Amino acid sequence: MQRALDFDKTPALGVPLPFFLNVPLFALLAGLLATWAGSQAFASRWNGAALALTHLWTLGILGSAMLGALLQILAVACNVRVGAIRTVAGLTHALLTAGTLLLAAGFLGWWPVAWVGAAALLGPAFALYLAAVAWALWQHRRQVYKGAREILVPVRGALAALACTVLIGLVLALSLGLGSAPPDWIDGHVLWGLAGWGGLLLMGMSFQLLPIFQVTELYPRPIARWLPLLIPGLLLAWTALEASTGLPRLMRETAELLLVGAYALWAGVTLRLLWTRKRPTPEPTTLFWYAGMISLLACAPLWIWMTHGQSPRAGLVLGVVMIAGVLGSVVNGMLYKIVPFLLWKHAQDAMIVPDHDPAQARVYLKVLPKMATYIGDRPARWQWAAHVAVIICWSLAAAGWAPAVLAAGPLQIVSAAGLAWNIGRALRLYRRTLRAMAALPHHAPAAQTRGPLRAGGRE
Amino acid sequence: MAPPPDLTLDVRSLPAPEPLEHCLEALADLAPGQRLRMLIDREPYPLYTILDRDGFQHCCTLEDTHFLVTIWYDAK
Repeated sequence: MQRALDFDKTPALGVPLPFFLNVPLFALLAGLLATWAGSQAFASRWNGAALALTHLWTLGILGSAMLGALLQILAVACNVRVGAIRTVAGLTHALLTAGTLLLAAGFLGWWPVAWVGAAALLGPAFALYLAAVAWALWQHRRQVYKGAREILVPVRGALAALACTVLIGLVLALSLGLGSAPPDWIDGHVLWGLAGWGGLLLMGMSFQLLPIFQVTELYPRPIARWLPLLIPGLLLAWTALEASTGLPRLMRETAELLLVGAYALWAGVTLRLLWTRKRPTPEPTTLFWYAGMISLLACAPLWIWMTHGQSPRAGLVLGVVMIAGVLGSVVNGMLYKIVPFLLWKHAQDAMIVPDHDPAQARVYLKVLPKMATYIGDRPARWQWAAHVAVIICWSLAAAGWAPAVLAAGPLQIVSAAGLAWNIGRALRLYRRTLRAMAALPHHAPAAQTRGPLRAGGRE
Repeated sequence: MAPPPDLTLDVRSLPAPEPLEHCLEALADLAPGQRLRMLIDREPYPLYTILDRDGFQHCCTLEDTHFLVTIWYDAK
């Protein structure tokens, strides 16, 4: 399996960074909305405030981070570079951000015109992104790094699942917006989005990134080879069974059970790898991975509760645990690796060593901070604790516990503010570093004229 | 005069990019004629670009369980 990344293929910092900056912003919006909506936010999954919150999370927080990270990882881990990447990323980011805000507003105010408008923004955003990435995967299929298959198989599955999720979402939004009865495809929309797009992408990233950044052993080969094939197969089987009439419900539940089992297996293996990693002290990112995988294991009993219990709240709790607990934890934790790493890398790229002189390189090394200093360990651990409190509180709120409903919004604001502060601190240090480098006597003026966030990287 | 003895740097079991950071620190203190021998779990492709930029030569060999990267400064 591939265990090396080629950072020479890193896209410019302006490609992924705006997507990552969306995460704390939308997290803050979700906190404000949950505070404002109060009990309405957790009354039912069909409530307007709950739907708005759900899409702030899935599109604004998770979608932004995952779309940005995928552009990065395809280039450095697979040698798949998306053409016109700045244009694709810029347009996708703008349309996604505006479309998500409009969709959330549409749910809050129950405005049909906003749903149509959101579909008109989000449809092109995802179509452009998917077309550009699919074309890049096809165009560079012969240059893909040997050993990158373990990443590309789940990535292709995740992208196909994203296409299904978006298509269903567009049909639902346009049906609602244009006043016709929407088809009963909502469970499919949720399943393809969370278990397909979200789950498969996380799985693919874990195969590559945990051994490199968490110093774990490699995933067992059968897990890395077969789970990314099994999960899309189960999603297809579930969809066929859901669409067909006359077949017993038990068959669809069996497909769901196998899907739950497949993800529980991945979570169990991941926890074991993290537990036996070569570094005994967990870093903040390790703690987020623990939170994500424990949440994933918790989805199994919650699924049983939802399927065989009578409470309509079970589905709401399961949704909260999957979105905030599983996907939210891993995305938040990965930001603490990927953002400092990108800033460290681009600061390295901004070095200009005259005449290949090591003495000059030494001068630079004195002003270049280490990656670990971009985001401090303690503030990141503190934000992790706030995030775990959010998972627990939101789950209890979804289960109907009134005190948790009151605390859910403020806690989310605290967690989002912590994340924003930590990322902001990293960006401030990066700017200071570039300024310090620009002040060095041998730093060429051309390198410092394109703004404080200028850095190397390729188109 | 005999060149100074090789420096050995063992960065196995360190997460990215700590091996690179340790290597760059060690290179900053490398004496003329001295070589750095780095033991690492995976081939450090990103390091090669930095070495080229800073005027260092390198060679990499696969040992039993790790890679051995030898780095020296070739002042021409």
